[in-house]
Amino acid sequence: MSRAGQRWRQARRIMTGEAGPGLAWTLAAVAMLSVLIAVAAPRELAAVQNSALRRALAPLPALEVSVTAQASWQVTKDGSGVLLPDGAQQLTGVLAGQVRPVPVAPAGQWASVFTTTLPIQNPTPGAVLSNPPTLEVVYRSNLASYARLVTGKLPGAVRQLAPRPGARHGILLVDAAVTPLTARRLGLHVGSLAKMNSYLPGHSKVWVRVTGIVAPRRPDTPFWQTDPTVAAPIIPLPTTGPDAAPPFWQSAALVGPAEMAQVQAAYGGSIIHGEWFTPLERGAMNQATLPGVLAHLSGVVTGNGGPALLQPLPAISGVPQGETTILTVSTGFPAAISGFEAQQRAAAALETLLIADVLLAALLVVVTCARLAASAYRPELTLIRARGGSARQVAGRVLARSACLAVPGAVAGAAVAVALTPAPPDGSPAAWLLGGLAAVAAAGIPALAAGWAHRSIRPGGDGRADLVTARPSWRRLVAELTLLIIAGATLAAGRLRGIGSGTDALSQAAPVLAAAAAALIAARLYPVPVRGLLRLAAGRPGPVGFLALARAARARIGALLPALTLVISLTLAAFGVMIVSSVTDSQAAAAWRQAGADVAVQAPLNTVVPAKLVRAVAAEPGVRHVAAVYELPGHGKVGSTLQPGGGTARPVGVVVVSAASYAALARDTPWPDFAAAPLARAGSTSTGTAVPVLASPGLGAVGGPATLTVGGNQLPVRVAGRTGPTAAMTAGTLVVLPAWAAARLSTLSGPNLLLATGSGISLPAVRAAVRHAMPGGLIRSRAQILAGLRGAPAPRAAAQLYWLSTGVAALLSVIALLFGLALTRRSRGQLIDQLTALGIGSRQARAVAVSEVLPLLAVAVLGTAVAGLVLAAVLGPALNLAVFTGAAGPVRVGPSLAAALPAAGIVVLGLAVVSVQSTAFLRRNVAAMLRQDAPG
Amino acid sequence: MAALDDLIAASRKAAPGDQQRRTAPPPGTVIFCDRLVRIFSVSGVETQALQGLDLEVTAGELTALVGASGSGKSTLLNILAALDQPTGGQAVVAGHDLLALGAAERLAYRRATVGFIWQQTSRNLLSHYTAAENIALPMKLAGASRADRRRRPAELLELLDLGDCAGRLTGELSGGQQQRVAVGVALANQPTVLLADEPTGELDSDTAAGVFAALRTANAELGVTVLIVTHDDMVSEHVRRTIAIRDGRISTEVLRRTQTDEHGQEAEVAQEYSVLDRAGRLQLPGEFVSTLGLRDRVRLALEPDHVGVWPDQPDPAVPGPLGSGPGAGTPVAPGPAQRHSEPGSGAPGGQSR
Repeated sequence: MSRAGQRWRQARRIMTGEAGPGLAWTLAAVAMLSVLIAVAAPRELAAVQNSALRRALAPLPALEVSVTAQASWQVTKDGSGVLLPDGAQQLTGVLAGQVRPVPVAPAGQWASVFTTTLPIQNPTPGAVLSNPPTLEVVYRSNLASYARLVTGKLPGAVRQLAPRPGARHGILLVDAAVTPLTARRLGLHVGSLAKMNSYLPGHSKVWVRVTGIVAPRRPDTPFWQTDPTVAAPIIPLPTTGPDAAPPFWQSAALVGPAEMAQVQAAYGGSIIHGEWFTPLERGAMNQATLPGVLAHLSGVVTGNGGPALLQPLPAISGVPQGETTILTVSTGFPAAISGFEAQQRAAAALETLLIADVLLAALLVVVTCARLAASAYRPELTLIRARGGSARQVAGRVLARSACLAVPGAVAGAAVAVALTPAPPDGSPAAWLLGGLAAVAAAGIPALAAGWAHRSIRPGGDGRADLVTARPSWRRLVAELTLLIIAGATLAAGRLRGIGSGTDALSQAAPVLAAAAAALIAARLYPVPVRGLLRLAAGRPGPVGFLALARAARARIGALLPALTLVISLTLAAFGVMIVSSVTDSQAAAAWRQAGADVAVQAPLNTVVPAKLVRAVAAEPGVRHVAAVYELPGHGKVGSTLQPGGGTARPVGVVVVSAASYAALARDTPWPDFAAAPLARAGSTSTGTAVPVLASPGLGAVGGPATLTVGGNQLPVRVAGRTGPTAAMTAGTLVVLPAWAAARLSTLSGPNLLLATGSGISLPAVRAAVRHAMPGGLIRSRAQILAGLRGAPAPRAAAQLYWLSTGVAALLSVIALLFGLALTRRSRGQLIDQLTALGIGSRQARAVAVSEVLPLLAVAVLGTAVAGLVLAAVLGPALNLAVFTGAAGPVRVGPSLAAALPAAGIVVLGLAVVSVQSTAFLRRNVAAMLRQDAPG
Repeated sequence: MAALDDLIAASRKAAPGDQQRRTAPPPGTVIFCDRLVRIFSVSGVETQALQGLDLEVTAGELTALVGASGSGKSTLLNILAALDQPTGGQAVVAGHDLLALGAAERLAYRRATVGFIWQQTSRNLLSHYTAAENIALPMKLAGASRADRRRRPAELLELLDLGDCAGRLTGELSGGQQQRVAVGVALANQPTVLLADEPTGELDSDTAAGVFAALRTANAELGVTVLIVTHDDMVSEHVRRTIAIRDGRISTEVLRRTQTDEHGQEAEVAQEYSVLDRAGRLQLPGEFVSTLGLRDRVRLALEPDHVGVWPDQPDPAVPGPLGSGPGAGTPVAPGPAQRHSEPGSGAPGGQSR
């Protein structure tokens, strides 16, 4: 044999041993999968969270994703205290330094110095409102990058004109640029002069000469938005009311750095304002650093930021210490991000919970695989032990083998994880740590399992326990009881404290512990009904039922580990599905609550929904039912109460409906139980007759009289039936009044709400109809509200991760099932061989073989059902899912049909695999197999 | 159950720690078993595999152990190989008290003192190893040097006439070659005792002869004491000592020796002996029991040089052939030397006391 051939044989020997390549591939695949999950899960979590953060940050105005410092100081009469452009720029760096290590976008930074506004003395007549326009002179750094020169030139000169003969003071002629809007509004053009008096007597007058017209290059940036006057003249509010001032145009002109010092000097004695703007780098922010960013910004705003900026200001500007009157550092970022952050916090707690449990399930799969390997290696390792190998040597041998398989598998898993998931900004050390641990587990656990199985010379005791030295073992019972107690305590703690409120590992493991406890209970309980069935089967003809049940009843869950893994992974899948479906249902319900119908149009105040709008909406394609109703909230300005006969008046909401059309519409909504019949007009409708109404439970007795008061007007009514929340009023206590009786209450106007149900209703068409028939009408679309709830960054990311976790859990379930079946494959084959030798038919043999997997499947289904129900009942209310739906109360997590699908799928798959296996067994040489299986 | 309790109590008397009651193996004895008991339960069914077995094998012996299936042969062999632990009694192999060994000592014992061959070749050899590598494996486990691991397999393979098979994988060897390699594996660490559990059970007679020859070679040339469990007449008839085990005890022994008659002709003579255990119990061969219709109890008579055994029948005309001395066939009047013996209720085959 060639040298290369020898090496290859040696390598193959190390990797496969006597068990063959199938197990080697399995070990490598499990190592790959576990490392893939361990590395990918934190990376995907980070990526999804960061993506959600980016989506949340994207629509925020730049002004809110920034830190701004503002200072005001007084320039003395002698001109000291003037801030030069370099000084202003220097302070920009000081502020940015304070904001760091929060990432700052240097390209967007600017400094601004601006003066008090002064009236223009020579305005064009068109620019004068009640008062003449005012002008502030603004210096803003980086003008060239934010503005485009339309005509003329950028400012760059300042001249001090000598006082005119007879004048006491000179004139400061300042070049400046204005925007086209300012130029148009004030009637300015290149070369125009805007003349202003001095701020205080004894100073130069300031004349601004327009040298150029500049158009904003990026009008949506804070450069133009911070002070809107710079971009276009505004009329300061208020212009009406008690505090009203005569309207005038307030405008600004931009000067260059050369003019800045003289302008300040010219405004000597007045307050000069400075502003420093530091935008935060959104792209550099991530979920991991967000809490630190917020904490640091809070420190900058409330602590060091102001003083740090204040300190160098006097030195830079020459303003004596203490002359700076106001200095504030502010940011709108924490407020802008707070809603998202609350959602993300709740989502992250659940995401971490699911991912931690999926990792635990993956670990159990590794342990199950190790058990499978120990079982397959048993003949080889038994021989080695018999030949003088120690348990440590056996473990070392398996370690060498599993390491040879796990390391390439782990590398492949990590590579796939890196390829599938985006790189986290911080390099995700947690992912690599978990990946390393998973690789160590994949290599080490098979070795530990083999060492443990062969700690004695007779692996597994070979069933020949010495009768004299044998002692009954309470180990399993004690271990099971301990696990049950821990699981119970963890669930109780989780229920009391809430999941995700803390970061303790135990609460994260609650679902796994609950599933493990349920699996143990199911393993203990399942033989009881089987034995009952066995008694029934004993009296029936045919061997299959009896044989199958007898095996199922007597089979020990030798493969308890696969059953445990199966229950845990299935429970995680079911739990994930339950959470997602509960959130989805809850979001749908929230959308119904907010909209009331598929489309709702609220009439403007004191407006009635016109009949033509009702007809127009009803005619839209997809609209099934339309109802125009009047709704008056119970706690609105117009008081409405219902006083049952002899009872006390209680505030109620009032809904007036046309019973027939509303009942038809209500059937399309989640509140379908609207009883139209009791509201029908019956007999006399004279003024004194009591009007039948539907009232919320607790409002008077059904059939009893009551008095409805709306805005002081009273109407005798009779409670003809009950109503719960309904499309027109989705919350609170209410009274539904028939439309035919509405005229008897003069305080009730016509319908103010139009409700429509149907599918595929064109919102633009409805909008057009509303614009045409009822301008100002407010349209609520259930689909849009739902899309808003589901599309919110944090819930969307959470749903994405839940589905992913559920998918991984389902995959782990399949693997656990296959391992469980692999562990019992030999005994199943022996059973079929024996039955075939006894002359049983192939179909019957197959049916009995299926009984081999019944314990595993029964425990899986029972355990999953128990664990799922327990988790939903105990842990469900502790989960903070309300943030995803905007619901006031907790979101109910309940069992759903979809949650049972993974377990059902596993049962079908298990039976299919066994059936196929049985067919293969039936085709082999029974005599040879029986000889091979005979004990040696 | 009472019998079991008695058995356990008897074996406990010789349990480890009760040194005063322990019997020292006679000089030259390599395998020494005294009242060896092994009782275990399989799926709740109690099995008394060894019921107070006594055995002595001297150094350098080649001994066959025969008996019906389930008689306890393999259990005995596993105990001697330190692959199983007895419930009670005494088992000493090459000076190692197997009931007193700790885990590390048992490991060292398995490495250095015994070699073992199973019936199934698949249990003896690793299929992905060559013949030489299989032999080197126990040496590696025992910490032998690399040079020894290269030298010793080659020597053993030459000795076993397998020199050309050193580089072949197990699957490339015939069944007989595999079992001979297994002999080599068992001899790798130069053990004192070689234990073989039906080594020829899966082989045809020609091939079995080759394997048996290998065992004889090991015995003759390396001086290893060999104990073979076998059903193979060819094996049992070609060893000097064949021990029959029945119901967990040694029942009979056949000793073969070469005798030279008055004409100088050499002939193999086999003589069957019944074995008397240390408690004085004797198992009568089954055919003796059935021929004379012995049941329930027998009459014993002590003669000057033998013991007479008669069926418990009132008719004295039926002589008891078991007594082979001068008094055989002659009824003996009840006296101080006479006893009535009742076979053990659970032991078929006329166990006498």
